[in-house]
Amino acid sequence: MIRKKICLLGSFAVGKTSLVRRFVHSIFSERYHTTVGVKIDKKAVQVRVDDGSLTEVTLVIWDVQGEDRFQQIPKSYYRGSSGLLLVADGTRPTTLDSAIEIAETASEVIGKDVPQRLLLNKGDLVAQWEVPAPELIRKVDPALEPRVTSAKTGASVDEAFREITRSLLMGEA
Amino acid sequence: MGLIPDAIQAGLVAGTTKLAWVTLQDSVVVDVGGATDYHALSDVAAGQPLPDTAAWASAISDQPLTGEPVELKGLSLNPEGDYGSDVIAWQVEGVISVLFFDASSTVKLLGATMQRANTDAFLRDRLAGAERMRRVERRSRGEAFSALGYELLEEGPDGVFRPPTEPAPWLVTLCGWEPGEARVVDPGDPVDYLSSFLGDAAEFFRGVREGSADQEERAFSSGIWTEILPESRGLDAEYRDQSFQAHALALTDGRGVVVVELKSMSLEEMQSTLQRQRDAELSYEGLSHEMQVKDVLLHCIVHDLRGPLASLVGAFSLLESGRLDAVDQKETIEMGLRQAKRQDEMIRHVLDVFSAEYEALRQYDDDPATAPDAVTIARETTQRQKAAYQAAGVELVVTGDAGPLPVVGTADRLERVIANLIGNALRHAPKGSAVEVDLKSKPGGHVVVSVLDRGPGVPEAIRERLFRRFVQGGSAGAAGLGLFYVRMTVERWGGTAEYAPREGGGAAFQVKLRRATLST
Repeated sequence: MIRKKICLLGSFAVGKTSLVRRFVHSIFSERYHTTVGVKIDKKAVQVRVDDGSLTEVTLVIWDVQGEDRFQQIPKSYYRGSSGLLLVADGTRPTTLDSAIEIAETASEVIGKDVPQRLLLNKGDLVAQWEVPAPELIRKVDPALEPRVTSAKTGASVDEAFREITRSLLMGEA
Repeated sequence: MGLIPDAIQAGLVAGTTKLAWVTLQDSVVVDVGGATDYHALSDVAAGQPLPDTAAWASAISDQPLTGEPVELKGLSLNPEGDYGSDVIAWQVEGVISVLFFDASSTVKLLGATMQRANTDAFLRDRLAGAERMRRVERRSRGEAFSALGYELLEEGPDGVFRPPTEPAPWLVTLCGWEPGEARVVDPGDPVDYLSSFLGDAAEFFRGVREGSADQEERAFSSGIWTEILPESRGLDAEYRDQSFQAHALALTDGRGVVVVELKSMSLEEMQSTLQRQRDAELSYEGLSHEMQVKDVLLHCIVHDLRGPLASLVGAFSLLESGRLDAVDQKETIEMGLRQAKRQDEMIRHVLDVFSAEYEALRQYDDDPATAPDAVTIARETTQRQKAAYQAAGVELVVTGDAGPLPVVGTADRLERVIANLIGNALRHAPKGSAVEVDLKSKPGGHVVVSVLDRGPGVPEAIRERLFRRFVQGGSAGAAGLGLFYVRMTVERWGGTAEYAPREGGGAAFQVKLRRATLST
């Protein structure tokens, strides 16, 4: 079985753990529970690649602590990553800048060829987004293929993980 | 394993340049070192099976190695060399150790220099004794750590890590060791947290041994990590989060050990402290933002409500003066009425935004039989605004699909959305122009309502912020909440609100709504 490591990166409380719980266990909790260090989860997924073949891969998902003045991310965490999911909270526009900064640091370790995707999470709270989604998306490098997700409703969560899985299997950035 | 290199490191064997060794397990070479060329061992490599061509190998494998050492004297291992090798081999717990000497060499054992012929038994005894002592020491150390809730992994000469004693069940689960499987962890797999850290640890140990690392720094720790692991064996095992931390320690004798810790109470305390700090930070961030918004809101409301009020006061003052003729009186009353209506509209906007934000606005109708028809509502709304348009000399027309076009939403809110867009267009449309309300069904299950005017359009500088709160397009009489309300409302229904300059000049506001279908 192919094993691939994916890192979820972003500020604290943007919903990284909730996205993993939604994707792996199909559950959601309103309660914010901060992650200490790294939380590692696994899920076997089947994706269809461009040649039409169905490939099964075990995603080893590293849900990495949110970085702030209390917790720093050791660079060794990025090593061996086949893909990065950068997560920002649509209700806190500054978390988008943090996600991009963390991604730049990660790229110094693993290179720029590893697929990176941006998730604008908390799409269920869109009325509280001070900056509308299209405007946030316009701010971002299109190569990150930003998409609005909601760990609460599950909107676009499965698609985001499957899409990056397909990309990393095909070796695309 | 590691007996001979360990013995050399321990200083039991020293002084000879003709010493070589090989350790084997299950007929596979685990370690080879020393004067390998001298004893023709260049074909022997760690990780590879023992070559059949090795003369000493067949001699050893023919012997039952059950603890008593086998001695082979004066073997000619290197046909090109004019000398012989002496070989001693023995087995401890399945590991075969083979030691090669130059048959004529002198070796130094614990400071005593003796001829090779007299050293065999002494060397063997000292090595066996050293290994016994080391095993006792390792076991004691392992048991001591285990009693404190830590587990040890020792770096072997073959580069892999092993527990020195029977590991605790949690380490077995963490490492995924099956019953009967060799209890080893290969370092350097970046996908696996522990293996990745062991790779870093091995590099660190090597640096300390070779003197390239800071000799004062003899330990480093991993971060905390959490894995979801089974609580017991078997298919119906419950899974739960378990957290760990590892510490790499470079011992003074050159060896490296990794201490793995199962975090429990200390992690909970750390987690709880961090959680409190972050909760407080989030609350502070949220409250600061909310207060900032409220301040701006209050400022804008007061500012915008003052405008019409000033006009009203002016109108009443003029009427009170009694100096106006009948025509002027009528005009002044009409002007006062317009300002009162404007103020009323602003207050309604403010109330809409507050109610939309603070009350439940999640209700919507998505049943195609009862969902609001966008065409009907657009026609009714334009009908209601006809008079204001006529007064301003601007035409208002509805174009596009004839309908019905049922959309996800509620009739009253949709009417407000369209009214806001039409009212906005009227403020900017020049006299004699037309404002168009266009409705079209689009592929993908959407209905697009466009409100198009021939005004100056939205300045580029504020386009990006247009749908945010308190952004005004430069016109009087707008609190900057109308477009924010439009966006917030349609996004709650799963739609979008966007602006683009109109082709040929003017503004084009587009609201994309989900079409109510049986599948929504």
